[in-house]
Formats: sequence, structure tokens, C-alpha cells
Amino acid sequence: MPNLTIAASEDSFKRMFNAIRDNFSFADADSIDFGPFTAGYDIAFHLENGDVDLRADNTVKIDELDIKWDKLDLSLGIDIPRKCIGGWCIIPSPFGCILRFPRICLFDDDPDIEVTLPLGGITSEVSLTGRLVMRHFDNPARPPGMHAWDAQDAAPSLASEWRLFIDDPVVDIDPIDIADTVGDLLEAAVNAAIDNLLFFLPGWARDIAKAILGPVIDLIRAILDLPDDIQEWISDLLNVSFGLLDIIAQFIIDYFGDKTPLATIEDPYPLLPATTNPNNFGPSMLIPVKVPIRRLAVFNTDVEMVLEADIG
Amino acid sequence: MKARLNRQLFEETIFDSGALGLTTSVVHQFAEPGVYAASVRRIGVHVGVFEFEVRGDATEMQLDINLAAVDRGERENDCDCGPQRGLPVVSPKGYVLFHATSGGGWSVHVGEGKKKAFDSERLTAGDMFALTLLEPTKYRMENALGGAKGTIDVSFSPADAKRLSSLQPVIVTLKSGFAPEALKLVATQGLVFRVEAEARIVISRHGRRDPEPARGPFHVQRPRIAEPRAKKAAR
Repeated sequence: MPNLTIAASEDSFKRMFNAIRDNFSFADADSIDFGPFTAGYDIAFHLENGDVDLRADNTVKIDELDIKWDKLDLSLGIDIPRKCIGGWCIIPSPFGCILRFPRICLFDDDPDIEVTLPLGGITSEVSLTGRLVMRHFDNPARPPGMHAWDAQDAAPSLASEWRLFIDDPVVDIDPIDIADTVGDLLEAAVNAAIDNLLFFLPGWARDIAKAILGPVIDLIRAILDLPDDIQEWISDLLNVSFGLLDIIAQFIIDYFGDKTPLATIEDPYPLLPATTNPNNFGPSMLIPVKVPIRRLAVFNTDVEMVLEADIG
Repeated sequence: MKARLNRQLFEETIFDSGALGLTTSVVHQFAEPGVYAASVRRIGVHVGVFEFEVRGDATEMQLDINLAAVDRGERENDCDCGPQRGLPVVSPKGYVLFHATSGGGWSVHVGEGKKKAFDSERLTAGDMFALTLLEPTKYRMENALGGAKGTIDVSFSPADAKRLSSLQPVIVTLKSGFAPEALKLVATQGLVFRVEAEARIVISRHGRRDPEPARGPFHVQRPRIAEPRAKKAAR
């Protein structure tokens, strides 16, 4: 039979969850070389909302937790093939061309363009389910032989503590759902990049250069091997090729399951704080009353979270 | 990779068979077998010599000679095919095309021994002048060695942009005059002059260049003075 039992209502548990949810932030950037092109992402998001449910089977479920994308930039680096004019036949014959005009190329090499698609401003959803667990944390900075009480008095504190986590939560994350206007966005970005490449040319020359380069989006389609559905292609790129869903899911698992406790309890636990001595004898200050927590278990019902401790 | 745009393509305004640039070429057929030495000149100044061989048993029907490469001391057409190793060859039934991949004002004088075989500043019957015009505007064409004159109208529209690769070159014959005298082309379309009289063909831009769209006035604002003016202070 435990020496101490503490219960927290579902509302209290929600407040604990909301506090660590609001401190959550994630940012990452990477790029991959796909041969004919490179693709990179630069992302950042935070979490909002979430429906917290303590369940009768001793699990906790957080549903409809929103991933608010602060930044979701996809960059594509494309190597445009060198395009040339000329090469037309000066003297044709029934057996083929006898004499050809030399080819004159627009660029001295294959030009690179890089376009960035700002895909942010969307919301994704994630849910997580798991059992609560208390883990004992032994402060690794605490020197061997240092008494627990001295460790608590140290600045910064070197105290050990019990930490409350969601044990190895199962995370379900919705695929990143790109807006269906992404095709227009890509075309506009590529056009802008080509304009940037040719910025010093007068308008007529830019038009001709772009015509020589070919319909830009068709060119990019060929280089990227884009299917008709650009939206799906980009979603696959983010979700599958980059493995963003796995990266995000793992970060969420680590955050709630290992890195950021829902609550912490000092060990030994201060039952009574240090106080002035009310007696006329003895020291002026009375030391705090602390009890070591030998075992701390946690479980929940559908209405409350319960902590059971063995002390001494 | 930072690729450089070939700006010269868009900056040329005069196209001269006697002063070749990036988008112009002259073609001559050397019917007599032998080794030829081409003296390359830029704006009338000799810059280098390029040798080639016309050989009866050669199968090559086209030999391109890049005059800019000769100036740089490069040999783009070296091969093992001539009796003098490294000398490019061409059939007497084939054509030698002189062009330049950079710069302008190029001309070439070719002699077989002491006999002048070809002078690009003075084309003769059978020679060709081939070029492509990019800027959509009006041009004048004339034979500087004769009285022939004509006009070229180059256009470019969004519809043209879709058919650039399928444009066929326009052939013009130059005898006592240009036939036809008035041409309508699409930007980048090929243009070939078949020369049947002594000629130096000069095409120059005639039309005015459309002004670039206005970028708006440039505003300069004086910094605001926080202190009241003397007049106000006096009131």
C-alpha cells in the first residue's frame, strides 16, 4: 500500500499539457540532390489546441493537436539545359542537310535557377496516445558523494527529481496537405527566377530569350519529371522523399515522451520549507522537512490522474 | 553554376558580311583542291592564319571555321585526316563556313598560294551570307558594293514564341537587286542571301527601339526638421 496518494483532475492535467504544448517549437532545414535537380526544405512550426482525454484504459489521448506552420519553404534548384538558336539548314537536299548554320547558345553553360515556394500558412493535425509514466532523473552534474540535500541547495540546483512523461506515445500525423494553387505558385516562381536571370535585358530581348528557353513551366516539368498533379508531387516530396512526417513524428515523440516532462517532483520532496525557529532555544532557522521518494507510480482513470508514492 | 548570358546576341545592330559578328556567317565553295591559308582579320587588322585542305577524296561537305578561335590561337577543327596531320579537310563539292563565336568586325581573306580565292569583304557569285536577326524591329539592307537596297521587318509575338523551332529560313537572291526587296521575318528566323554579283551585304537597324516601360518617378524626400521655423517662432 502506497504511503502517499495524490490525484489531479483532468482539467489540471490539461493545464499541465497546455503549458508544455505552448513551449513546443520545431525548426529544421535540409536539402537533397535528386540528380537533375536539388530540393530543400526550411520549416518551422508550433503546436496549438489539442483535445486532451484521460481514458479509462489508463491511457491519455491528445486529439486534434494543430501543427501551425510558421514556415514551410520548399526550394528547388534546377539546372536548365543550355539552349541555342541557329542550327537551321542553309542548303537542304533530298538526302539531308548539306550545310547548316552554326548554333549560338544563350548561355555559356547550363544556368542554374533556384525557386522557393512559400507553402506555409496551412495547418496539419497530429494526435498522440500513450500511458503516463514517472521516471527518476539523476542529475548527471551532481558530484559523487554529494548529499541529496546539498544537491538541492546548490545553485544551480543539482537535485534529482521524478519526471512525468507520456511513455513512448504513438503519434498519428496527417500528411502535409499542400494548397491546390501550388502549380500556379511554381510557375510564377520559375518565371520570376528566369526574369531575374535575364534582368538586365530589355523587355523584347527577355521575351525572346524566354521563348528560346521554351515555355518555362514545360521545361521545368521535363527537368523535374513532374506529373500533371504538381500538388501531389510536392506533397510526396515533402512527406515521402524528405521523410518530413517521420522527422516531425520522432521529434514529437521525443518531446512529450522523453525531453519535456509534464510535471517534475523534487526528490527528496520538501514537505515543510525552511522556517524561522518559533522557540526561544535552538538555532534561529529550522531546516526544511524533506522525504525521499522511493517509488512513484502514476496511472489515470477517465476523470483523474493519480500519483502513488512510497516514501522513506 | 553561374552561367553567363551571351549578351552580344541582343546587342548587335549592324550585320555586315564583310565584318562578321556573332549571328552572321559567310559561305564559300572552294572548288580547286589544294591547301588554303585563311588570313583572319579583325577590323582590318590581321590576327592569325588558319590552314585547311580541299581534297578530292574528302567526304566532309561542311567545314566551319571560327574566326574568333583563330584569334585566340585555338584550333577547333584539327583532325588526323589530311596528309599534313592536323589540317582540316573539305570536299571540293562541300562548303567552308566562316563564323565567329564572339566579338565582331571579323573578315577573312583566303589565298591558294599567291592567288586570292576568297575575300569575305567582297563576296562573289556562288557565295552566301547567312544570319539570324533577333530584335523585332525594322532593318535596312543594302549591297555596299552596288546599289541594291531593301527592307526587313522582324516581328515577334506570343504566337511566334511557340513556333521558333519550326521556322524555315528565308532565301534572298542578290543580283542587281534583292529578290525579294521587302522581307518579313520572325525573330531568330534564318536568313540566307545567295550572292550572284559582287557584294558586301550590310543590314542595319532602322526602326526605333521601343522605350522600356517607365519604372516610375524617383522620389527624394528631405529629412523632416523637428524644430519650428524661424517665422513660426517669431509669431
